[in-house]
Amino acid sequence: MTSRFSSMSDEDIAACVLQDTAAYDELMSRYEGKLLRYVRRLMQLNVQDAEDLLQETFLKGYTHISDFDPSLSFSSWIYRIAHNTVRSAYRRLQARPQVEVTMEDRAVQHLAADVDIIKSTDRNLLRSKIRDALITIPLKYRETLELHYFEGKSIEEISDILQIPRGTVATYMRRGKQRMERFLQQHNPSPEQS
Amino acid sequence: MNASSVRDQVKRRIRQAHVKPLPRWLFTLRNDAFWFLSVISIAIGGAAASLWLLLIEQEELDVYATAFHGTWEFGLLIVLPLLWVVILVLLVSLASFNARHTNRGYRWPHWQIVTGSLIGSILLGLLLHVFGWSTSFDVLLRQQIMPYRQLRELRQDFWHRPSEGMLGGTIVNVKNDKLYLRDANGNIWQVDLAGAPPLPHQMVRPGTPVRIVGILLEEGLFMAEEVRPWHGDWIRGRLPFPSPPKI
Repeated sequence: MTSRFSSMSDEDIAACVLQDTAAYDELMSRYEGKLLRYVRRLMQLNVQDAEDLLQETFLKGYTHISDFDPSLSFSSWIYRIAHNTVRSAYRRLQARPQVEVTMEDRAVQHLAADVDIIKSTDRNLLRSKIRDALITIPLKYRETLELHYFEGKSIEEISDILQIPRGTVATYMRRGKQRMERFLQQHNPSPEQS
Repeated sequence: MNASSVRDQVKRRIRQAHVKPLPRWLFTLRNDAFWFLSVISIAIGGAAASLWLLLIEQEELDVYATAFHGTWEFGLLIVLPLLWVVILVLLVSLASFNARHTNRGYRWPHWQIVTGSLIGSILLGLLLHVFGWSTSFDVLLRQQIMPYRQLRELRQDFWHRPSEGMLGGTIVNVKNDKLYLRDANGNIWQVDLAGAPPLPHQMVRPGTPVRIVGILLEEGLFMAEEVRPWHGDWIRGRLPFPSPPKI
């Protein structure tokens, strides 16, 4: 069933939420899949925990909809709320058992090319190496890499989501990749080294 | 529970708990409050900077070091200007914190916000000082804060010890090598200028507050070795002479 909001932009729909709560349902349907994957990957969470965080995110988005600044994209704004929700639950989430979350092949290949990982013909092995390396780096670096490589966000959008200057985003991405490289070198030595 | 049931759960919670979006004025107020606090911090930082300028202009550490060496009075006179610097740093930090928490504050690098706030406070402090507001702040603080008054009087008392070679007051008249001075108690002193370097012309006007280093010859009679303006001339060398302070 197509809603009457389906042809409208996110920003236009957000402007309608105060008058019509059905508009918010349309926004949730557009972002639930993306945000669920983002939250799960970021903290390697099981589906139940990730859905709880997503609920909190959407509720916060609804109560704070008047704070949405139309000069920003709605996508950046709702990702920001998801990021803040994950951040506030960070300690609690760290104690949870972590699960293996699927990573998209295209994003893995893109990130692998950028961190100069030893090329592996085995797709599963490459994915596993990338995941292991990502989990070990600090959250602030991991977030920027996740948003850029897996969510396809630009530096400017990441700056709006994480609320840090663009220069800092670039620095975090560079440091994150350096840490990943170091981890991969230590745990996957080249044949000459081993 | 799958993704679509997340939506259902959210809708149910909104319906059951009668959740309503918060009003826009609340967020506007929050953002404006951060801007307001930031501007206020820079303004108070400006006042602190102007008082710091006033003090470093007035203090004469060479004389204090000789007279107060190794005593707690010397320590206090050194600490007071530094205290304003510490207050300035705290206010600049507060201004930066508030600016970063405005809607778009995160877009500027931290160092730019800190530098901007610091430059804003120092420029404002310089303007306040040049236009004489630092003296007004100083008088106000003396009236309102007793420890501050005691600390400031320490400096004034320092210049009312003719037996130890320190004499402060306001010029009544200058004739040839003789300067007539009214001290803080209203006593008139005759000061012999023969042994002192020539005075700059803007200092010889009646009503000008000065500090004199020299030797007490007898009650009411003093021989000057050096005459200094009450305010230092670090900044004011090329600016109009200030109005006399209340001493």
